Amino acid sequence: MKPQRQTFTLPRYTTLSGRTLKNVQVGYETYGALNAARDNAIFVCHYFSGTAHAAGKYQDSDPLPGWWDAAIGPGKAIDTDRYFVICSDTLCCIKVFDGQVVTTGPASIDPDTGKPYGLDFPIPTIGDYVHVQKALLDHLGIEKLVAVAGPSAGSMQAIQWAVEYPEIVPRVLAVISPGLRIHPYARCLIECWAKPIMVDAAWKNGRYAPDQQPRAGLNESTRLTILTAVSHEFIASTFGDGPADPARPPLAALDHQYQAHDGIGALAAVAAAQSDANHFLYMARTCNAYDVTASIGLARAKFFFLPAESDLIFPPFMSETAVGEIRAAGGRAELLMLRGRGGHLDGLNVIDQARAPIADFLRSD
Amino acid sequence: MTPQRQVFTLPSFTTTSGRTLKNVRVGYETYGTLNAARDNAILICHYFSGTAHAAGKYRESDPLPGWWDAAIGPGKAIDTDRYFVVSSDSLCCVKVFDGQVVTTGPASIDPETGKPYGLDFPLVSVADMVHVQKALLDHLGIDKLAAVAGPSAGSVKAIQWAVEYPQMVERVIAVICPGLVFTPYQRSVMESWCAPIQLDPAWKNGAYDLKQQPLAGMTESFRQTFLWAISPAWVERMIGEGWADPARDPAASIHHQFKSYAGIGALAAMSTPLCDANHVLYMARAGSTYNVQERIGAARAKFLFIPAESDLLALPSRSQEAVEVIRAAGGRAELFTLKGDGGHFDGLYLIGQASAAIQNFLTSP
Repeated sequence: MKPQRQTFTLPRYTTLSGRTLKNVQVGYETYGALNAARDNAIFVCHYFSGTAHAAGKYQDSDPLPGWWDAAIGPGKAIDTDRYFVICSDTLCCIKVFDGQVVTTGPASIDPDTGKPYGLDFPIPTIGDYVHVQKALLDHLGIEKLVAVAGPSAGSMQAIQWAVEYPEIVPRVLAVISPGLRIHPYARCLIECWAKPIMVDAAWKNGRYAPDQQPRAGLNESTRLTILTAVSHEFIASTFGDGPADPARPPLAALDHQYQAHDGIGALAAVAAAQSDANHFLYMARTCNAYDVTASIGLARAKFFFLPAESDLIFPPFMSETAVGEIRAAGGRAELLMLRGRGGHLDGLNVIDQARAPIADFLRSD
Repeated sequence: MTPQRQVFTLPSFTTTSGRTLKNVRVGYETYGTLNAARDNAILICHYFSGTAHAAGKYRESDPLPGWWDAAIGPGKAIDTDRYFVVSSDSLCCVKVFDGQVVTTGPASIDPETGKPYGLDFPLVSVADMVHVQKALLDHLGIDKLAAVAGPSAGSVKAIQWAVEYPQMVERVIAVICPGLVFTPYQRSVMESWCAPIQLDPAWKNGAYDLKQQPLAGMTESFRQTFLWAISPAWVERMIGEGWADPARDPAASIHHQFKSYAGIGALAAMSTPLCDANHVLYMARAGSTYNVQERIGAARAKFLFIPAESDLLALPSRSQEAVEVIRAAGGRAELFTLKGDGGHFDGLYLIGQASAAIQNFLTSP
């Protein structure tokens, strides 16, 4: 299955905070075919450091498929033989430099100055993300969705969709979700992810050149994100227990490291090389400001929450709380626990456990 | 109960890595009275950022007693009417500048140069910390311990004691213990605590002036440490939702903050001015290199593990596994789980739940 990647341009977009931006661009991918009635579309929203590349490979030689390939494809939970799947790069998408992503954020050139916006770019809300996605759907001529689905920060966008556009969204699939708002503990955690960037002198209060990223801070921020997204078991089985270099014992010098810390750092460095530091800070703040508690009663969708039992970022109690709150507001919500020892990332990796329940949910009234 | 604080000096000490240090000093406190047979002593070991000040108040007007006052005192789990309790500042104790602590580490003056050691100080192991405590006990004329006890990093030292000096240690009380070795995940968490210090330009590769500490990095380090030591329920109860400043919307600027991030930071930063940044790095590395898995069979002590059920840092399963490993090695080990939703800190504050279990453990053969 080959993704079709394109770019959507909004000549003008006004944020919920009231700033009008020119030439807002986001990339998007589609999988499957839109039917003649134009009523078989599912919108997929990506996680914190994700992109529109949710499934498939651009070329057969790509080492890995898109990030939710376990969920999206022919015969899978989100069956592309049946549904037309759309996934877009968000505003302030972190992976600005991955070679495919098209996004608009602090690293974009301000048409008024010819320079990157930097911190002059307004901090968007999850509502802004969703409004841009809605404009994309209008552009595609889609007036009704089968569902909006996403893991983690993608679930926030999916739930926000149900609140912003109740008539368009009959179903929400919220995987490894924080629920209706970010718990103050998770908020502090997510802010802690961002802080190594701001401690790095090369950040320069956001005014670095795009090719002179605060590399050390960005690597460390990304390492923290990965660490909290996995689990004790994942780290032990993936990286093992010993020193990174047997000739450099960790008790001999501070810069000698263990396999696990180095291994996560190597993964982080690969991701960080494709990322922009300010976009990381903006994404963290946008997620942390998410809160639909007061407006959830507007939603007409039914909700399906899929927490992962070993999740350390958004532990299952957050999804359980959301189910209770939606039901208390008169809505419909179900929950299925993903089993596994892989932590938050189980929402990506073991989602096939829920293939039949998701397929049933998507067909149910 | 007034602690008796004194200073112990070792004219010469050779680390397990082979470096000989002159004039190694550590402070210590005692509570209760050593009996005539000199066989009623219990050694208390402190946690990561703890000090020898485990119980009591120096003056009536002190705002808070020592950190384990819930466990140590007349009639308490560790009953000072019965036992003579000794608690010492560790090597590389983090709270160098708290006005009471006496320790030897990177912030100490190297007698050879007249300047602080900085990173020229050798990294120390948990065994080194124990060897210095043993010299202190020799100095006090104590050759048998009723028990060695401690929470968190203190439990690590207590278990190391049982392995280093099997004939001397009858019992070990290991509270909120990471196990017989840190998991690679736990290690990476501790190394992540260090990163903000090392990213702070004021750290200067460890060669900063002692009066010009890398405070921004250290505050971030402590915020992360604190976050791991509490729990979502604790944050709800003690800090709550909302913005740090009602006039500064976090969605308006990345420099505005949420209440949980600011509140946890404020609590964490209370101790920042008392601490030395290099000592934090050294303490973390000493923890990371702890591993008694292969040697636990050498211990003759019986063990009581006391995990806290909501602990995010030292998972209760780690204590359970340690009990199984010790039993499999032919040793004796028991488990008592603290009930509560406060996270790792429950090992300090809810230890009273285990009073009877600890008293029985201490009086049983």
